[in-house]
Amino acid sequence: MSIARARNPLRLLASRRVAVWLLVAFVLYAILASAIPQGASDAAKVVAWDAAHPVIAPVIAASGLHAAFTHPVFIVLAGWLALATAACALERTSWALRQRSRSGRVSEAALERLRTKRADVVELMTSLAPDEALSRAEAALQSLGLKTATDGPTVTGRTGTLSLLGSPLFHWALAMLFVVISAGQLTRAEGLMGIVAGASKVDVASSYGFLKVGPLHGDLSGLTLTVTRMERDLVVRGVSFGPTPYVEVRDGDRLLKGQYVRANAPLRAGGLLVHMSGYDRAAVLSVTEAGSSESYEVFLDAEEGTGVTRPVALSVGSTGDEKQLVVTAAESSDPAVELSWESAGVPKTALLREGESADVDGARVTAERLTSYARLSVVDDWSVWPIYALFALALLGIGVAVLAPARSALVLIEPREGTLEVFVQARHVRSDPGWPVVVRRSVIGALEQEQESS
Amino acid sequence: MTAEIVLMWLAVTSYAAGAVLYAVGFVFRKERITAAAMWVSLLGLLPHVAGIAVRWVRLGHGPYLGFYEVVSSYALMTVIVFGLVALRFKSLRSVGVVLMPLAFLALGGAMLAPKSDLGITGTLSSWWLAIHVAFAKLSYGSFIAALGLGAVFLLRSSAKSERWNERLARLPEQDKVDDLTFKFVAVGFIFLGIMIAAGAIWANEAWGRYWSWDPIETWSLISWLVYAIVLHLRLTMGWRGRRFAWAAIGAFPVMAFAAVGVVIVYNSIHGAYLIGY
Repeated sequence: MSIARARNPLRLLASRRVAVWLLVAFVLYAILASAIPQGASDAAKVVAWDAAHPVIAPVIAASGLHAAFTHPVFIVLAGWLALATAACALERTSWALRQRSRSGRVSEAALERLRTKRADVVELMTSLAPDEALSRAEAALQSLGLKTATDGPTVTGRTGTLSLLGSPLFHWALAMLFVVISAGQLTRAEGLMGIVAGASKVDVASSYGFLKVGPLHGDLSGLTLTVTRMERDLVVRGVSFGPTPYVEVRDGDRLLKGQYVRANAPLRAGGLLVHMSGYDRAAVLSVTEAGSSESYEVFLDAEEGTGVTRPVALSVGSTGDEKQLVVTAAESSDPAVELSWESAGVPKTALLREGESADVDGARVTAERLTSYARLSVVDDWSVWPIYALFALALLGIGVAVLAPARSALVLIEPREGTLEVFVQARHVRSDPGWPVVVRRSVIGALEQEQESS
Repeated sequence: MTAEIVLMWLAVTSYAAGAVLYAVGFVFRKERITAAAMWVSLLGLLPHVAGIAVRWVRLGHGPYLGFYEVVSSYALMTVIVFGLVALRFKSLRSVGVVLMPLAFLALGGAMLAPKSDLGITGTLSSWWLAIHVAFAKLSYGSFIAALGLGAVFLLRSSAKSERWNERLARLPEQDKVDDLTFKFVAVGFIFLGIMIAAGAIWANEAWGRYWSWDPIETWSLISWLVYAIVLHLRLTMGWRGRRFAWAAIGAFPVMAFAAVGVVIVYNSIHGAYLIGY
């Protein structure tokens, strides 16, 4: 790459060679990233991979490649690619506008070039009158879907404006896609919220077990989400969806929307997109001590694969006199939970069915409800629909560029020695070898047919 | 043996016969044998489509769950695309020399795999699945056609002996093959883009995330970008002829790995669709 080129940022960005190398770099980076598990350093798959690759694991961890798609290298690469795409879009738009503003007038230099019989120019001798020949040639070009214009001895034809816009549209849509995806990630909020059947939670940070908020996201919505009930096995058109929550979203007292939330049927309300992420058993415990009572929700999740319920550690009781409880789902024919704690160094347990209580070092723990809960994925992301729209525009653009590309044709008819000499030239934006053949065949056919009939 | 299996074996037999006839016609320069090879190959479409239809009716879903269904439908798309090319361009019938062995091996391999009856689960119950899968197959069919045409181009351009040139003389002009290769790459690129978009929309509806850098998502993007590179090389760097044919052929293994290899190598949510539950 020359220094002169490097000095011109726009030319560098619009460089076709650089664009190809950027794409290659992006592909190689994505291949590398796909070979390494992505996630937090304590995620199970990351820990397992690190243990299985002790030699390179420290290098990968130090380089941050377990978070390859938020890595600065990736962001720089994607940003550069976005700018290069925008520069290409600008260049192609400029070209398309120049083409569009061209009149049907053909310069004398172009006509002279045409007369010199380059490889893509053919000659045809015809005995037709010049006006008739020109008219026939124009009709032939029109039959190929070209818009025509005549100027003296020439007739020019070219495809409509749409054919010029395919490539610019594709590149602009892709460039905008980079912008919208980035903006969406910066303003997106997504989290997992567990709600016991029959209970509600407000869309605020403290309601979430997991919450990821983009740096430019404003306040959470404050809407109220209620799981009114859990259907044991929702069947829709013969397909079983398993346990499914009925979720309502309210703004204060006003119901915005309510529906069963299942795969492929998320709830959309108030800018939120609510999905069913999981479900399991839940217990609502009340702890009464010294006249005051407090309620606790315990989510009893089963280990993936084994189905064994994970014990939940719970600190209950008044400040300064907390009791450390461990709650697990009990092996029982009826729904029950098992409480474990230590009293003066002695391990103790109690089995509670719904409505039953146990004394835990002076505190009364009651299993108020043994039920199920829904783990809801709640997403606030405005960018999803614009992303779909831009990708659709990009595909429309590339579709037009490939299937209806810009084409043009020029026919020059000049008298010569008592007859007419016809020059035909055809141009195709991607040099399709079939296009000149089609144009020549059409024009020559029209003129020869006329000769025969006349 | 069920009617479905009988039909599928008939298709395998037909494709195998087509592949053998193509090889014979090519080696011995017999136009009639090549023509017969094409018709025998296309005849195999009847039992193949019927076999898939029987299974579709019985299970209530299209051929997109498990290795047997998926690879069988890839083979079907390959033969359909080949048929369209061969019937539209008589001179391109010889592409079957490359494509029919591929179709035979794919369907034969699928027939040897377990044929479990996998049912539609909640996540798979979506129209986006049909769109996603349909465009995946259309794109793979297009890329396979581009692969075959690229191979034909290279075969002829590197044929040095007169004997080989005579055998390949019936093919259309090289620039026509070159342009068709480009067209199949371009159309495959558009179909692959639609497949990715449909998958993203479906993922958002099913799980609330349109993109999560799952290995198969990443590899579908990689294969889209690789074909974007191929198109760039053609349209902006002027790669034509042998170089473009090599590019079209070179991109294919990436796409094939994204379609089949990823679910075998990686622990992916897409594993269910190809290797079963």
